[in-house]
Amino acid sequence: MVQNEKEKALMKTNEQYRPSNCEEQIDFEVAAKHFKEIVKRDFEMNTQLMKGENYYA
Amino acid sequence: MPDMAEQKENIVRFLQQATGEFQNNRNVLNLSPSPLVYQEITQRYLCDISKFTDFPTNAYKKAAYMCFWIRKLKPFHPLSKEQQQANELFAIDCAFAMIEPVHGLRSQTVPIEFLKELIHNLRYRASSPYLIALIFTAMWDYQGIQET
Repeated sequence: MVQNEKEKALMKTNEQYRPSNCEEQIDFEVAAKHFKEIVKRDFEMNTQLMKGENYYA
Repeated sequence: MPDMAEQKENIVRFLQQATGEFQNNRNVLNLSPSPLVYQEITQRYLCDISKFTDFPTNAYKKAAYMCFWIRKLKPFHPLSKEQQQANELFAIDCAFAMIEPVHGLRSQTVPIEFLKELIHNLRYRASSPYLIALIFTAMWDYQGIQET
């Protein structure tokens, strides 16, 4: 990646960053509907994640 | 903005609906969590979030508190190794469901190995809502990819 593109990418990342003291409301009705999408979308991945593994055993 | 009682009701309903979806999709969890667990998670979550009345806070932090209390109070009782990390998975799925409508979909470039480590750490290591919030922030804002 050339320098200019790197700077642009960094600028974009900086613009997207929200400070933690920026108020954002959570709509729990929307979240409940979205949860439904997530469990369908990530089904395969979640199957792997649910299993206990001897990580760092 | 909903009052405290309404907010509490909304959150309990969210947790109940999420549990239903989680169980339907997995078809593996035979034990239903007690309604008291939802009340307890909600109460602890609201107690923590109410500290921020004078200091506004973003969705990552709110989701992190929810994730922290679900993983701490463990609504499910796994019956086999296949379901061993159900509580931790449910905790991050709930957190993602809170963040994604605000910040866009999680980048699919986040590797599964990272998520495995996140879940492992939530289960076996000490973690705090502050650190979980920082991890969520990095997963969305530092990825630089918003697939909305």
